[in-house]
Amino acid sequence: MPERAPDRLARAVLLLMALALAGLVPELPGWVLAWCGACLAAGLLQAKRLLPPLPRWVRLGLVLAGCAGVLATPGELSRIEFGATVLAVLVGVKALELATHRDKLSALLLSLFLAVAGALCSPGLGTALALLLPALAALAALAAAGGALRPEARVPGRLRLAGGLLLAALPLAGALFLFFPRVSAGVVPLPAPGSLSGISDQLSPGDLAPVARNQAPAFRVEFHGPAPRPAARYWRCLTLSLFDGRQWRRRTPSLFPPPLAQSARPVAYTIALEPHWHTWLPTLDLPLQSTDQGQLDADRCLATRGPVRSRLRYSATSVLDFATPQPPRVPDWSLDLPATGNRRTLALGRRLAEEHPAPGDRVRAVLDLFGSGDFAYTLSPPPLGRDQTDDFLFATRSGYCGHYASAAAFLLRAAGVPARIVMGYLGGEDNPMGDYALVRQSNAHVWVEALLPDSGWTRVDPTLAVAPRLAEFGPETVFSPEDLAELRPQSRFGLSPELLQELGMAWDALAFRADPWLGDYDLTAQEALLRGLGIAPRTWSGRATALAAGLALAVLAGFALRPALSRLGRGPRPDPAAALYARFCTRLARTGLPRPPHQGPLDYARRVSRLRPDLGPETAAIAGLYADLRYGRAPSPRDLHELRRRVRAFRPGRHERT
Amino acid sequence: MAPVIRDFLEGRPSTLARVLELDGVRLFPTPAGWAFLACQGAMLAIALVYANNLALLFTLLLTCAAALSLPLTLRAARGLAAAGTFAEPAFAGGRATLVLAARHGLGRPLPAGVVFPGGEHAVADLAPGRATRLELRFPAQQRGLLHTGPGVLLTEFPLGLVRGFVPMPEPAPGLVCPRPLPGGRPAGSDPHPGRQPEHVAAGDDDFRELRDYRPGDRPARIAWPASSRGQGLLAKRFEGEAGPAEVLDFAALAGDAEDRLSRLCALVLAARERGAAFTLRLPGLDLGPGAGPEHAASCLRSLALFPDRESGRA
Repeated sequence: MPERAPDRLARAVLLLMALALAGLVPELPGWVLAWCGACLAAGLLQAKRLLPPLPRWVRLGLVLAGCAGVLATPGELSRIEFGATVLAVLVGVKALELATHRDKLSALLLSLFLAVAGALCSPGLGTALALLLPALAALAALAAAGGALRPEARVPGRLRLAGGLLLAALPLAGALFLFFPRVSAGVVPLPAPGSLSGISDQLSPGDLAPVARNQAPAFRVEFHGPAPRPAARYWRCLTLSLFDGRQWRRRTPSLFPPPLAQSARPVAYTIALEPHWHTWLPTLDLPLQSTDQGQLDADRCLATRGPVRSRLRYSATSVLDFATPQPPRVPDWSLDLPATGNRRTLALGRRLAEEHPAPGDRVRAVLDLFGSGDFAYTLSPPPLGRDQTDDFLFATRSGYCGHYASAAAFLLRAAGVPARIVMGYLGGEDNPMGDYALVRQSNAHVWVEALLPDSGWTRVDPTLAVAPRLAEFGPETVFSPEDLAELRPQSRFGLSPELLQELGMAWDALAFRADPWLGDYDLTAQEALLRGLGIAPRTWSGRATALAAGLALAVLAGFALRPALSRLGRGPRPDPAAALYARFCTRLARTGLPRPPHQGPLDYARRVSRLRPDLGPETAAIAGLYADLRYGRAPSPRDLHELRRRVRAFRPGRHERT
Repeated sequence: MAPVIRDFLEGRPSTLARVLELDGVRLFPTPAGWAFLACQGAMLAIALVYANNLALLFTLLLTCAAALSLPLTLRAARGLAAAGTFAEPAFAGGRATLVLAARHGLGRPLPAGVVFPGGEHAVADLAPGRATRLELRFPAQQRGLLHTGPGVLLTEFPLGLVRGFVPMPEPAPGLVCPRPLPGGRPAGSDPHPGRQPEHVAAGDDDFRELRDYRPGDRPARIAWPASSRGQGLLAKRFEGEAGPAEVLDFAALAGDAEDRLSRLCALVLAARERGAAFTLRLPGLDLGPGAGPEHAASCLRSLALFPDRESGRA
């Protein structure tokens, strides 16, 4: 009875919906996930005829309530997230109205848009692989629909059919993907997500703490040549020069840095920077010159013109040993301190200046102060009072790089040594599987540069005086036990943290290598490819040629796949016993004893044993097994196993053995 | 029925369907196919506008898979074939059943259908490697021959996005007999006065005598022991059967020609039911005497086509 039979097509569509929603789980608000889960479950019950269909006004009410809920959701949603959320809510309601064939088809198509929204929200290799599932589910559901001809029919082997079509479509889609005309870098830029990077153009001590817990990748580096050790990898992003007592801020430096006074140990590298919606580009301390993508300012920080909205690749060269030239005169800002507050620190600075006439000695004295053992490195420092530098230096004495750098720069300025703050990253985790280094947001670091008579602007890292192991072994080695408990990788899915880390590295390497083709293959890359092929990009004829080339490649791939495709029309696999018997007959036919089409297995065996007595027993055994399996009352898997063993071993010679 | 198929059946395939004719198979998107195409276009636009490679790949993948399903549709449709006849004569005002044996060339069950110009259609999963029986019912409006017109075989395998259809030769026309009307025996012509021809009383199955075998007698009626004595075949006769062959005469009935044919039809059917022998006498045509289904069938055929009515369409 079709009314009561479970609705297979509806179930296939529900599965597709669930798969498409799965790609959006990180993006969707919790209540939307719960909403969709409840709707899908109710839809499943309806498909199993356990729940009656809902009246139209209830569904309409649900749509209105869902949309109102999205509008009332607190927190800011970007345009795409908003669209995806509304779509998810609607797909949820659609799961409740899968009664007619048309309903199911429209739900299927709606789910495809949901999958696209997932791709927009989180591009990457993981999403790419995860998208194969909704694609497969959609094709399988379409195959299950079998057209409007027989919507209730059971289509055997539809998953195989869908999988085959999808596999065959992969090379075609790849060819088209390479050549499909692109719109310049996206007409609508993706909106800026929430805070992506801990590094901004201002710093209060205490700013970087949330970043230290953020394991998201900041950028990946490939060194062209031997990689410097992690402790020597200071990634410079921007300088902060103005201090108002609470915050370090940026002044706008002029462009065109003065040439270096001395430089040695050059290192060339390529960086793949994750989008961070700022303009700074990290470079190894200290970059030599501007690059195609960025311009060096007078502080030797590299920056782009517009914010980095998508993953950016750039190559640069830096020197590890360097000295900047002495400026003609000491800049005013480099000694500027607020007139009020932090009196004790100011006094300490004056005392240091009196005790040590040489600026280099004053720097050493500051580092000695931090290294004296009175200071502690922690990610959860106590809050600071109004005179925060005084409070930090003389009361709390615990904090992390932001605190130390800020206090050191203040103290140096108070002691008459020009100083500024540099924000950036330190270290980076080498990925042996990918031959590159991954720098995470948790590697964010702040240090100080002091203007010294011999070496110009010189790096001073007070944090290392407190926690010397930080640079060499990463932030994990210097944390207090409480911080560590929070940061240490947990074992999940019954896998050890070490194995998880290995797997994570392998995955990261794979995604990094796939990226030039998946994420970074944009208009520019396509134009480079087209130019390499002698096709002029940016002309209509060039675009048409490119599209034609893509189509031609796709058609060629389609022709190459013809045998595989025609196999798809063949339907479910033949009976294994019949396949084995066919192989057995082929082998006998080669000895000159072909089986006439009308002859049954037992008759054939009798004829063979009459003509070739040496083959008789084996032939009879195989024919008997086959007859039992095909026509016997209770075929057993053991018989099939036995038949397979015997047929594999059956190698009849061309002539009778005597 | 999709407009494309209607156009095709009526001999004016739409331009697009003509363009899409491959190898004798016309391919045309189904409504679901159009919707899928529109959806792919929208997805492509989103992917390009946001310059998102994953969305673009996803869209291209689905589009290519749909495109790759075209050769499968083509193959499935090319292998479709069906032939059949009208099994039983139909009666005007009733329905005629066309029984088709449909085959296809794929090694898997194939959902397929057949459509005729009148909108009559049937769908089934065609079994692989052997013929599948399809039954279509046609309205039989008028006695004579029922011409179905050439049909169309179609399939939407594998994804239901594109429909492939091939022409099917017109089956032999079906026979439509006059609508049987009771009360066909005018007064005085009844060989058994007081008995309704339809009515069969108890005891009618009693054996009465042996008579010579006539072609059309049922084998059960043959008196095998008596026949074995070498006097030729003998058949048993029972009580209740008309004795000498009854004469069903067109001229003996009142009313207009169609009316009379209808009454004669009812009488022939009744006689066939009883297994009785009868002679059908139409103007210029004597059939019989005879008995049994074959005789009845030839009589019904003459009634359907009288006078040489070749077409079921007036």
